[in-house]
Amino acid sequence: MSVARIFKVENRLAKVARSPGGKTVEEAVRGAEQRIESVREQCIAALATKADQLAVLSAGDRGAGAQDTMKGLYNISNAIFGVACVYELDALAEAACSLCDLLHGFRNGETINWSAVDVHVDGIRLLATGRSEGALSVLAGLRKVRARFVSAQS
Amino acid sequence: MSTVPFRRQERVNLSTAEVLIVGGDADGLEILAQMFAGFGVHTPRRCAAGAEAMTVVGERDLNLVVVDSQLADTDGYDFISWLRRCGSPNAWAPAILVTGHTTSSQIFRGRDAGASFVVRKPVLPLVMMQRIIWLLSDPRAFVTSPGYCGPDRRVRSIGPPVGMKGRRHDDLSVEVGEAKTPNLEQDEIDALFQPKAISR
Repeated sequence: MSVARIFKVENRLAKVARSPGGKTVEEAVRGAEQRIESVREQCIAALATKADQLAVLSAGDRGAGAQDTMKGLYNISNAIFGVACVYELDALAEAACSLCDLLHGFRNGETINWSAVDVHVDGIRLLATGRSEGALSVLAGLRKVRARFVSAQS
Repeated sequence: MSTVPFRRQERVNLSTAEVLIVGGDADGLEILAQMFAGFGVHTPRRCAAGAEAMTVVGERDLNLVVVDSQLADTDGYDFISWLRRCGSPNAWAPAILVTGHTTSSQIFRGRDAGASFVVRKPVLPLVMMQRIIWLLSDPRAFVTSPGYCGPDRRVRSIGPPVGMKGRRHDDLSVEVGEAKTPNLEQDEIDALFQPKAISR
């Protein structure tokens, strides 16, 4: 039988955080929101670059290296999701999350449907570059594609 | 500003806290670093790669580690797993795992790697601060075993497996023994739910 050791450790975070001074929780949260807002422009500008990287990668190896291609696509779309949702770019965040859902299923042994991936990549590029006035229709299309594959995967 | 679900005047002093932030995406890392700078952390240490973060773990006494699930060279799960077994006092530092696209299996993986919390994006300052406040009074013990190192994962005490006597001093028995006091009458139970003023 394995031996588990259970013990208490000093909470060094509490020791520092409870020392005199600092900010009220309200000030700290407000300060953080302002700092995040201050980098909004640069982070949103980088989304278009990430979307272009998606397009380049998805046009790459779809044969023997398909798993690596999908891993790269997953990482980039996950990064797009992470930034888009912070800045409330809801349509882009949903599209990126949808691509992650698809790729997650395909990486788990499902037959890869590259058309479904391509349509997501195109949609994400449109939304990331702000060139899509019809964000809702783009999203509606992606939802249909996602529903078809994700329900089949589950 | 978002509504703060804490006492308005509750104070946190993170100015001297050593916070390590690890994330593979430069913009995601920037957002987290700005968040902690806004919280008052003077010099949040940021690393894109797990290897770089391992060096920092060896050099600094960390108060908090925030790790994205995606790193430049490995993933956040493996990094936290390594951290918990690294042999330095930093092994017991609170570690918050931040995930983007999140499946339930990834949450379990984060928990089993030894993360103190798994937080799904978008990680808003309010949510992060809430986790920090919780960590300040985190009562969980740490567990080291061949299969797991990290905060105690047991959130319910349901006793040892059926048929086993238990092997830890704080295990509860599966058997419910005889009552040691008389059963309460219903009106006594009801009275427990109806607080009354006490005369002094």
